[in-house]
Amino acid sequence: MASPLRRLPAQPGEEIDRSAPLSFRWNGKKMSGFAGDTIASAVSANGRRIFSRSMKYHRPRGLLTADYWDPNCFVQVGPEPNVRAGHRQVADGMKVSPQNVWPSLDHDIKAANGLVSRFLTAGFYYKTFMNPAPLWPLYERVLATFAPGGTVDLSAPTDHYDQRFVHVDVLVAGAGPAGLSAAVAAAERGASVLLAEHGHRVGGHLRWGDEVDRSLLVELSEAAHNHTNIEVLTDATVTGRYEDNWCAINQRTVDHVAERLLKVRAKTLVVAAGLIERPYVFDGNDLPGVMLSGAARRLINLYGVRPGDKAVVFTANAEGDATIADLERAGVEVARVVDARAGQNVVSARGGSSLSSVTLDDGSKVSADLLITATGWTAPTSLLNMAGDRPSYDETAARFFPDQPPDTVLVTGGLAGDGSSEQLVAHGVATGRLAADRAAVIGHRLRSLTPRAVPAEESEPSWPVDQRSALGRDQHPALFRSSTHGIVDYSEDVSSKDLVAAAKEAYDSVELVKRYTTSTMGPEQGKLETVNTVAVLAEFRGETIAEVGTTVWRPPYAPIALGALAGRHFDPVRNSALQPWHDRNGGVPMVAGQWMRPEHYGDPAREVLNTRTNVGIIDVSPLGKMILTGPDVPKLLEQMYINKWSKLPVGGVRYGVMVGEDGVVMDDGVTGRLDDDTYFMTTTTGGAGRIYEWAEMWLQTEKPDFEVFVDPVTAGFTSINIAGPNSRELLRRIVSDVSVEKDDFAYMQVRRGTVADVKDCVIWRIGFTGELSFEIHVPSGYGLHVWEQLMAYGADLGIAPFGVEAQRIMRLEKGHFIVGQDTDGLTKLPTTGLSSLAKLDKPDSAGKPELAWAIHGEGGAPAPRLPQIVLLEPVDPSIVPAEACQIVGEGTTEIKGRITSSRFSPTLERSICLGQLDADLAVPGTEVTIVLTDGERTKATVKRDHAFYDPEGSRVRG
Amino acid sequence: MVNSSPVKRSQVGTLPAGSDRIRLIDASDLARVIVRGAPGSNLVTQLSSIGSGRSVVRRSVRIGRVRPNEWLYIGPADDVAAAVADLDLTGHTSVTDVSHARSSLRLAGRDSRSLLERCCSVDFSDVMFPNEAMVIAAVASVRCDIVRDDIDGDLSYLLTFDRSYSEYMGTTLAGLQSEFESS
Repeated sequence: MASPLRRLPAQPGEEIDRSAPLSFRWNGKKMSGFAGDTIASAVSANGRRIFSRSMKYHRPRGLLTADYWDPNCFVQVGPEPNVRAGHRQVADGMKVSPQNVWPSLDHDIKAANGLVSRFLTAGFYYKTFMNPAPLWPLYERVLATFAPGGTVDLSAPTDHYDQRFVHVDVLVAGAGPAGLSAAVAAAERGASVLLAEHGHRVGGHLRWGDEVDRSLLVELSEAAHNHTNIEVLTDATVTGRYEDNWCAINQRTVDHVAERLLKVRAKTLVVAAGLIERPYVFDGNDLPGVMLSGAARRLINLYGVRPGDKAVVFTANAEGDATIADLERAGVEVARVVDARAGQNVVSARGGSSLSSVTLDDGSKVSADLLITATGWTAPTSLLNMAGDRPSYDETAARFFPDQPPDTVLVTGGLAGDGSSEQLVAHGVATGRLAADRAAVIGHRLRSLTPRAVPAEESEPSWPVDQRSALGRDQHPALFRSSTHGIVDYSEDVSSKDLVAAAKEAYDSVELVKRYTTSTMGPEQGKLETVNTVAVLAEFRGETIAEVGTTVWRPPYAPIALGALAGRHFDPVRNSALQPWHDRNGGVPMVAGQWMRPEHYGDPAREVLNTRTNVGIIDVSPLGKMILTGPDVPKLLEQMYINKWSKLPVGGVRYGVMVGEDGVVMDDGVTGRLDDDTYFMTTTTGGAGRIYEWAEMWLQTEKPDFEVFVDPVTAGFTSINIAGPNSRELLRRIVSDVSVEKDDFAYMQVRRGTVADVKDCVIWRIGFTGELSFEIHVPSGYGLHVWEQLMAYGADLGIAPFGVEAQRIMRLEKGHFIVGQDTDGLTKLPTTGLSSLAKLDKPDSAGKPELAWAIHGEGGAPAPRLPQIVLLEPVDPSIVPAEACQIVGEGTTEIKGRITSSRFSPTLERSICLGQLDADLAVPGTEVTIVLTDGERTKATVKRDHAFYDPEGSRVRG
Repeated sequence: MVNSSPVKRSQVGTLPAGSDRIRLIDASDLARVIVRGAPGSNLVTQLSSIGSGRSVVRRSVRIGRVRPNEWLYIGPADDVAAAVADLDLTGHTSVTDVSHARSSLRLAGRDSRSLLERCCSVDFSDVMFPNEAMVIAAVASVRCDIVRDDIDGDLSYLLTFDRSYSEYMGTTLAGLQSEFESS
């Protein structure tokens, strides 16, 4: 049905820009609006009154508060669901639609739920859908169609979110007259101030006030915005207060990103959140056309929208009285004023899709399309709750007040009490000064505790005493529920009748009734319904509100997008100095922890064969590398490794294994002695950070007398392994001051030398591939130069790069295990077959007692029969069992082990594996059963040698 | 035998030009040396005036205390070498050249502090982090030595971090910079 346009002529304080018209679509229909309009105000101006359907009964709903907290106007904006139409500003071309209605907003078939509403009371779901349990999936599908909310478009572009860290002296939450005044006063005291306002503009209730209010607003706003010590954030909600005034602010209107989370360290927090108008509970209180006085005033004064044609005003305070004047100015006929202070009351409202009449307690029935209620306030004490304060109820003022917040959390404005604008400003000023003075003391302490800070020259000021004059508390009628029942929680469709029913079922404490009925648990998070919930419960129990108490408000103050909580996602990536070359030359990248590595350059098998035949080079820069200096390095090494190090000569290299206190293998690698007091240690890539910290742990806590320094230099050296029969010839051409001949540079030795004219390189004679190989560590600034020289000088030797995959194949052909791949968190040293490396006659080493037991047993008992890492040859050489395939007993499903590594060997032209196997099966020649991923079984034989390829080691030592 | 001219390369990559608001400058060509001494050593006594959270400039070399008994020297290679040569290295001490192990980026300009606030939780206010202050903190989730070293009154922060993060840091900070430039 077409409705008349309701846009008023320009209003004195309006926040729309009539010079900037725009068009948008609501529910498929084109509508007009102005810049500055909210979706709600713009749709209202176009004559629409129904914005949504209620959650459970799908009753038509219209504007209630016409601001952020309006529970009745969640809408879908393009791909974005659950947008608050009372807050989100409309934009040109915006497509807005109602949520979860069918077939239309005006005629929703699910409204039939209302016919059986008496069966849908609190706990209905819990009781009804319990049995029979197998039908739950069916129930779930049906119930899902009733779930409120919009539609998530998974194909929509992903939003980006941001974060920001802020350190301020004073954080002011709320920019009404008191908050603005507090911010300016604190800034004038020299404090840095962050002022966060939930709405789009500062000013609080001054925005829709009279000329005097607007004049004050201009004055305060300019003072705040112009002060260099103040940063003003609008559309930004302080969502949480945590220890030591660590506060979270959700900033919604920001450049480049959807939302931003500010993580604020405030020395003092000023809570100036104002008051939130409370709905009144009566039959029909959720009909479109029933709204709070603040909603009407905002629509008229901020957006120039006439909220109705004929109104009944139920007022208990000055805000309600002011609404009457606004309505009359807007051309709304005020059919009846119902003054609660005179004992008058509203009993019920009637209408079909919107309000048509109001029944009063004198029995009269007034025809109207608008019912304004002004029945009191809820104090949004959330941030105070989070600071440990438990608000107390004042019967005279009919609302909660702060009790005793911490010294660093100060309250001002309507939350603290009542007063004229001048009184609120004065209280705000006093609060701002106190906040600044206390922040100065805290700042002094922080400076004293932080050596890098500018030292405080003066002595610490004394802690400022709170000498503010308290705001008054106006008497207000206690108005919560009329003689009829109505909706308490609009978001969750919970009525006062539901609350009473729950209480009758013994859910009669406020925390229980909240959870049983879900009242206060919707998107409003209790801002509109908490006090009414408590009041209804108190009425049922025959107690006072103070005796019933209130629920505890926890973070967040207002719902926050999960993306905003995550903030900007920093995902560091590590690259070797050679990565540009890999990228240019077909290196296929793979992720190895934070490192990017070339997995291969197109054909790993060919890379293997070339390395076995000619010479290959691989970038092994991510290998963990540390330089250890000092006379006690051998002692530290003996502590960390299982083997001995005291006799390692200069130029020598030794392989070592590290185990934890539990004897479990934690890392391995080689360490070489560069000179008397300098050692070069390598660890696994994944173990680099952990082993460095472990070394520091030994030095700082266990062996502080050791004279050793450890410097992690992983990225400082570009590490290149040169492997293959032609590797020595290549080294001859490129290493200038070290003889690489076999007699001069034997296997497991280290030299310092010049490579490709780059000095101070470390050259190992070691190998992981089973071939004659060298590993050079080049200062990383020259890494790319050396790699390019190797490729150039090795061209006629058949040089080709190989990637991680080829290296893995070759190490498997050689039978080398990898810590973390072939071992796990339970693999003790004997499992690896390296027990002979453990020297238990050392005075001390990590895991020594556990190793002694694992290797030799104790108390006369034999050593435990631990699993063994063995080489396995599948009987069918074409089958490559996937890694992690189980090894089971013959004809059973009893697990006997698992495949830890497997590949097809291009060198041997067959499949090869490493596996962990129970000790009784780990006997050479034993045939074991492997369960493949498709459930089929295949056989493999435990190999006798410790390597598939060159078990004698002649090639690596060549 | 090889005959080549080694080319030393930074890993930071190309950085945007920047403006008075924010400039991102690759300072990886500076030399970086870690100096450590045992408690009570002459070296520690010699450098004890450079306390926790502080740095100083001596003959073009920025010297900052990284940890107890550990200092980071940053500056032109010859100047760093000269500064280190002046140290009393008797007893248990170590000098480790980490020039190739780390990279440095300079973040300068009046909005540089605001940019850092997007990716680092430290309080960079003038009082809590004055010129020559030094701290180790995560910047964009990467451990950095951060030194404030204003240049002619222009706000400047020198970030030193593991070399392997160079491309990541350059790209990440340049991305943040572009947001500032366009806002």
